[in-house]
Amino acid sequence: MGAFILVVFGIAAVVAYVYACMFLLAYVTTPLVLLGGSASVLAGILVALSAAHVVLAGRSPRTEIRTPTDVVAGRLPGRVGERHIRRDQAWPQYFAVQVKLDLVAISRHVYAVTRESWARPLSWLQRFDLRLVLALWPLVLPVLVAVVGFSTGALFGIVLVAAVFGAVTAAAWAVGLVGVAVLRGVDRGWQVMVRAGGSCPRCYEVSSLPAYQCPGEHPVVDRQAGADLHRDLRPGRLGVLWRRCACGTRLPTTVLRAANRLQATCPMCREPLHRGAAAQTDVRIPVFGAASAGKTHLILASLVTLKEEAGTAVQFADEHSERVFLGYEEVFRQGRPAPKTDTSHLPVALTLRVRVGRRRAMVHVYDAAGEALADPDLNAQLAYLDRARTLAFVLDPFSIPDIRDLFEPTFGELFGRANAAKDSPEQSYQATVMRLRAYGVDTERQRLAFVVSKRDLLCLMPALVPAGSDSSAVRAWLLEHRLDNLVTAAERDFGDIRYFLVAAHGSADMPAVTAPFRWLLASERVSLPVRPGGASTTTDGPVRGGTRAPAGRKG
Amino acid sequence: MDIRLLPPAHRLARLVLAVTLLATLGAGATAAIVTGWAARVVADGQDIAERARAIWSGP
Repeated sequence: MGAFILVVFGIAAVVAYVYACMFLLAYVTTPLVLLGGSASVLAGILVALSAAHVVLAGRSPRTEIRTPTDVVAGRLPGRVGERHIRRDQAWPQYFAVQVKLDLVAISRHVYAVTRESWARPLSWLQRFDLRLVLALWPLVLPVLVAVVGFSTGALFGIVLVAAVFGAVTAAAWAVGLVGVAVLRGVDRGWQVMVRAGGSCPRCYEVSSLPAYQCPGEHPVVDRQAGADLHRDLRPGRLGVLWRRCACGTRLPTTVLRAANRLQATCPMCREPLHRGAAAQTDVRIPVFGAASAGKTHLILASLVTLKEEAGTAVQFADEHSERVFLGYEEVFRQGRPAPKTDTSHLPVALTLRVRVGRRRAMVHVYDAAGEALADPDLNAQLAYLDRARTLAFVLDPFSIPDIRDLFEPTFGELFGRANAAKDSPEQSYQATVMRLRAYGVDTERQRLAFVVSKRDLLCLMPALVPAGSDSSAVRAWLLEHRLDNLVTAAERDFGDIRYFLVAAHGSADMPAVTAPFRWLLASERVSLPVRPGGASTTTDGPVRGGTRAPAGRKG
Repeated sequence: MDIRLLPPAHRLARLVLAVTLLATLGAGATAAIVTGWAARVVADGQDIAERARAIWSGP
């Protein structure tokens, strides 16, 4: 009887439990699942969106920030040219890397919240007996549905955030890439068009992309280590129109804009370059020839006269050039011979800033000692020879063997005054040209001003003076004096050559001492103005004609 | 890192992203509401049309 009653109660209890479950399922679980599920999905989406805004507002301390220090350490994707050593110390463009880090931070934030949404209910349920929890499944089910709904919403929110980030980033990259290509193209196009370059007066490196010094506040240690240098200022991952240095200073990203705003330095030796370097026409004129051929005198006379003729169109680019020029001017005015060029150190370029109309150019004149040019070990260091498009060769007429043999016994005093060069013209020419060839310089693309110097002294021997001052007459005169080998070699070696006969102290009946420099500059599209009544006024007028193409060009 | 220490371009980019995100959400919500409203209008219209047809065709 007792067992029967127990069975009846058991059945009644099961029926009551099933009834209660059905009741709860109908009136509690289902509404809670529908309401809670929807609300939790929405909550998940909102959590993802709020996480995005927390990170974007900079309120998330766990967000990884790619700083300039990281950039220097190489934690920015992309290739770095060997010349630039490493990335510059600047903030990376936001869409280059930071956007990804922000998305990662948002994902982590949402993941942490979602994990917590699972952990809390589970730890709460763990407080109860498992059988009780299972028995109360209609009440537990809405909780589980809410947690799953929250996770689903959070996942959807992350996908939404990632989609928006991806779309904006793709748009930014598309615009940025076009901007980078256009700006780099304009920069390079301008440099090619005006033949711009940044010549280092010390190490002779010619760079189209100098290193720029940040004008902002940097510790002395950083300055000494070169950490303030921006070696690759071009538009790129560190900025398209502008870049932000680690010190906070905003810098332009193109050479054209940086040229007049920032201090350019040589990327090789860090020597300061001239203002406007790599954005203005850059003309390099090495002068070579034997020792005592009159190279320095030609330079000083030419520059003093050019400065006089051109007036304000020609300025000194640096203090060194001005100091040297003032020394030249003093020597020229007093009619003294030029001082012997120092052989103990490499020549430093004398740089002039030329402004003709809208054209701006930097003219670097290099004067090395004849002894250094003749010595293969020393001339190997004269790297400026390799990068010049124009050269001037100075020949001392008193060193021509034919003239020396015939006239030195009779005009010994004159030869003494002329301080005739000891080396033969061919020897001094070949020493430099062979060096150029040895270093792979395509001399056929270079122009040569072949200058016969000391005309004023040559005039004291009337029988020796060439019939005319134009290029063809000077050439004929050289051939007459058995320098046909040298003439043939020069015309074979160089793409364009013109002959000049000049005197440092010219008079009205002598051709302008500036003619060789004017011709070389004209080939670089820099035509200096001539002031009426200037020292260059000659009976011959401007040198014209007689430019000879090489007799036998190589393929 | 304090956002004020970040370069202005980063702050601007983040602002653009935040605004775009809100705009996308707003556009999505608006689209959902408008779609729902339009569906309801269409359903009501169909209902009215059916009733009208029933009245027209008689008992």
